[in-house]
Amino acid sequence: MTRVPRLARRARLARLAFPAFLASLAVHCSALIVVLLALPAAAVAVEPSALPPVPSPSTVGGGGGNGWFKQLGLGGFIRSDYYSASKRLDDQNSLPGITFQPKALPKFGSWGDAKIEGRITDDNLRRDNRFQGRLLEGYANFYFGSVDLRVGKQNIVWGRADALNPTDVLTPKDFTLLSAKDEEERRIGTYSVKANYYRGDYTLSLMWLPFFNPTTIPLTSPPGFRLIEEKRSDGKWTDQGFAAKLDHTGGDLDWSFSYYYGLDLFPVGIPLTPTLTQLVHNRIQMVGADFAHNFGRFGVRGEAAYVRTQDPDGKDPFIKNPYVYYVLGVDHDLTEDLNVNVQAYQRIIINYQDVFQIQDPAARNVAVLNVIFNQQMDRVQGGLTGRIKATAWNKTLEAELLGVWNANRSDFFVRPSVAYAFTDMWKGFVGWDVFNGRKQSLNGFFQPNTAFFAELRATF
Amino acid sequence: MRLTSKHIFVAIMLIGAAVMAASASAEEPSARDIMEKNFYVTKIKHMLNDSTMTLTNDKGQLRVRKTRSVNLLQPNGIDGKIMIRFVQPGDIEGTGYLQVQHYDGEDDMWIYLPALKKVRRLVANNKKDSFVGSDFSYGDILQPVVDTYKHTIVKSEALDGEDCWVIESVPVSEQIKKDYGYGKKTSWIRKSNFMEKKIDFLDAAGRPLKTMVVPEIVEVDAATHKWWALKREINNLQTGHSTLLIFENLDTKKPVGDDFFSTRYLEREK
Repeated sequence: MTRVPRLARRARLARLAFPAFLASLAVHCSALIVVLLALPAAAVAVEPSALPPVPSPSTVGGGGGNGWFKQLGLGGFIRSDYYSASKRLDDQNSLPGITFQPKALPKFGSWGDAKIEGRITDDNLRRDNRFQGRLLEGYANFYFGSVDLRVGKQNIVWGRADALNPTDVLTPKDFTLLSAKDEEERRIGTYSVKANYYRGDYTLSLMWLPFFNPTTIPLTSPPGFRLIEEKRSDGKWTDQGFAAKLDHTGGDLDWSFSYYYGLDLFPVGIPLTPTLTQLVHNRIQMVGADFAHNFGRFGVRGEAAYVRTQDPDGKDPFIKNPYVYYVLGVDHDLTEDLNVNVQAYQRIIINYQDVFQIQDPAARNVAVLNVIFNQQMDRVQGGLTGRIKATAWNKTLEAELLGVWNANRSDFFVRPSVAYAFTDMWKGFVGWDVFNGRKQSLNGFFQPNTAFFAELRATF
Repeated sequence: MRLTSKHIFVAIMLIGAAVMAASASAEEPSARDIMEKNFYVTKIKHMLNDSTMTLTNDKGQLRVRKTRSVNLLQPNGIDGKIMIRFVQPGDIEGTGYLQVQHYDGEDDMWIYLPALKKVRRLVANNKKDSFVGSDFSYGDILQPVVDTYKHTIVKSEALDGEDCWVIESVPVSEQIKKDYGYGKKTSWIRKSNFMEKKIDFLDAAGRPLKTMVVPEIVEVDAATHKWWALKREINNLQTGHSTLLIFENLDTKKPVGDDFFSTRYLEREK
């Protein structure tokens, strides 16, 4: 396979697909506009007395002092940490860092409130002028009867499984973040208008994502090579996302169905020249579902998604293939202080093509990186995740062992960690991120990111 | 039938016995009756409150948890729905907790973690498990129905100037003993309003485990004689750890809708 005919074919496919895409887009937009217009009307139609009040005691715990501080909902944390290696695959070692993450949650009244949260960080103080600032969330909520509207940069999190979430395709993450609580803190927000309509235990959510914001992947181009990324965040209609979700939370079964039409948060590389690769984000459609139910003292969760990509036939190694991805897990408290969580997952790549057979070495290298980052190396992939968490001393000490094992290539990630709350304000963490496996495997590729870490955090 | 002196004597004896029994029961309700009244005296239709929980370890180090809660009694008059929002300390601020009780089964529980932006269904706890790291167990916070224990009046005595019944309660089965973790409870119940004043707990092996005192109470609804403890202090005699729970800003007037106990409000961080 040569690069020029391939690109020409892609351009032809794009031309053919464009009118159909426009028609599809028009349908999506029309539907969204109709529903968004209908929601406030539905809200007004609701009998006011049927609405639950929003209880809000005037003071908390006796109140007193720092009134304006509380009124603005100011808070956040500052942390100092040390990592023995970065997560950028850039061969940086021994990184002392500092991060300040303030937030404000002002309340306007019963009709609305807002949240602003940002992060200022330097993950390697040994290098000068590396402070970076980022707005993580900045949105306003408006409450109308049975409808809530959230406008601005926000984290929209989908999926009831733990850590592996096939349906979680809306909000980008920063996989280079160095933090002991990275699973909680790596989301970097997406610009969106989200409308939720509530009826009993049901919630219908409709989302419009006008500006695309991609995931930051842990990759630095090696010397002599260059990576450029087409982030497609200029607000064109073709770069926008649309999503809907119907959720039921209540009774003894929680479930949801979800749909997303928009750009893929993860990029794929296209080799423009032997030393220049462009990262692009292609359009995907995701249909997903999840559930959670307790069988006695066992919590069972499941989540599944079918993702259709722009390469349904699987013929283009520089576009992700369609796939089915599902996770099923169980959660159980062995004792009061010991929780175990085990999940199994499987990912089935539709119309799989073996990129290792590509003859052109430059094209093959990029294609291999694509399947590593997008976890499409094998036709059928399976594995297990596990988490054992123990607490002691009235839950001030937490020890956790977290692991992910990919069966096909026997690669794994393990994180043993300990956290101790010295006081309500100060908390310390130590741990070890271990990536291991063959080079042509996900965790084998990330092996240089293996790192010991320690962190001291003050929350205010 | 001819009325004889024998018949009259028997009738007088029966009436006398009935009157004595009635007067005796008016003076001294049974242990079960007392504990049933104790169970229902805090079953308030709906309530908002703020609470501060101060945890002290055996070295005197303090941890403070502040919450804002909304309670709603379900139509069966036994089970409740409770929504708790943590407002302090900072690392759990905004965390929401929703519990729907089922006295005859496992409760439904959800937690909302602001950092994860997720509502997560929790696995039901053992009743003996610690409530958020405090010395209160879930079984202490959400009192079990009366017949979970067999109750006996031991004596009456004054405690800090208040007349109390002293009642021993033992679990009716080994399973309940295992679930709640108590071999016996001894409760001092105020005669004036059926609120507990003190409870001593023995563990499943019969060793002293905890002592809870309830020094301050308030009548929140005079019409239905409902009371609430403003202060509860519990000491773990085996670990030296203690927890002081103080309630403030009680509001039983503001209406609370059933819809409030939903993910919509659980997800509001403030």
